[in-house]
Amino acid sequence: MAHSMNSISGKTEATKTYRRDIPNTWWLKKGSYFLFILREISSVFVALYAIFLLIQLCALSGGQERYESTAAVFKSGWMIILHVVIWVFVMYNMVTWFRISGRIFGAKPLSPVLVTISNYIIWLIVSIGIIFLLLKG
Amino acid sequence: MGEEITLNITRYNPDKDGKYTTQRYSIPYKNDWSILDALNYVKAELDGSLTYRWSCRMAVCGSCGMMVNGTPRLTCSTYLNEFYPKEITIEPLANFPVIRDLVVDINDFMAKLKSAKPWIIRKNKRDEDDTSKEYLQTTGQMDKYYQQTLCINCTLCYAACPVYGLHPDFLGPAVIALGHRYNKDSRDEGKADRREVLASEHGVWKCTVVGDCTEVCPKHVDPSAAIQRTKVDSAINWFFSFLTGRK
Ligand code: SF4
Ligand code: FES
Repeated sequence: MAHSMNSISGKTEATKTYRRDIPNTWWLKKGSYFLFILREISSVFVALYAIFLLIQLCALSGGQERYESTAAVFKSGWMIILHVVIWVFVMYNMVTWFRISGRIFGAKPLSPVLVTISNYIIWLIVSIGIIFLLLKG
Repeated sequence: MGEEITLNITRYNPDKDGKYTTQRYSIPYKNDWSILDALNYVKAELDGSLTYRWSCRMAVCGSCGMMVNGTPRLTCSTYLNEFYPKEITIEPLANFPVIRDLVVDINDFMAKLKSAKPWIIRKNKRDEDDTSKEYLQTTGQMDKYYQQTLCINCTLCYAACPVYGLHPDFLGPAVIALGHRYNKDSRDEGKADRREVLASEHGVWKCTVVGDCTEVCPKHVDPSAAIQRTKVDSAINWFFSFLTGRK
């Protein structure tokens, strides 16, 4: 109901308003809504990766035998495919949040592009550092 | 016969049949006509009962917002030539109840706007009435909030926000952006007053950063950024009040 003033009588009158339902498929209506839902789903894969990492760390602390049997599971075909899927979603999650962080912290004197680019540079430096450590080890 | 363009316009009259329908109108195509000009042509020449809001015709008053081919737009600054020769669908702004044809009920928005206290608050209430006092501000201080002062309350950002559509309790983009505008004003001392509204369960934390509010804003207010910055402020405040035990 909306209320409006009748200009002749001066009385307030109730008007019957029309409410439109939002279909469950609202997120398929626009590309940006779909990408948003994809970002939300991607966080499930980020969590999954964190769980996998924890499982491996636990296995590592459980001795060589336990680690090797866990590693065998992680080397199986379906696990590799799952990790590729996880990687794609984690990358997507990262790209979207780097862009959003530009928006959040990119106020003057900084700019959104500057903040987003700095994120990528830090990510690159950390990644190269980790790769270097792994190769060295 | 010159070129023509077809408009598909939503019709709803609660006093007549109460049906929510679409009506087709063929009108002359003029390269320099805005959608609002086209609606004015329909009203003047074809159907005087068509109801819609408008006033300034120059993207200032914020009253002519409608869904144009599914996107919230100001109809006075959206032109037929963007769509011609394709048909144009004009609907009332999404996420708001429809009063009649293309007119929506924005009372909910107005009430929320007031709740965020979008005005300068001083701790000493006498300051607010004392017009002789001057509050100097540097351009740097003004830069902090200037972007949000451009808001014209057109509510396009509400029509673009699926969170507001699904959870009408959400304060929504423009209200938070305007609360943020006053929080960032060096003359203001009302941050704590606004916090209970902006940081409430219906405030900033309901936003899931879809970002469409910023995309559709005709004044480049960037409400999405204002919401995220208010989240950062509110998180910092929570952290310090947790450490120091102050409310
Ligand atoms: S923030 Fe932009 S879209 Fe939202 S009401 Fe203000 S001017 Fe309109
Ligand atoms: S008529 Fe005023 S903004 Fe369009």
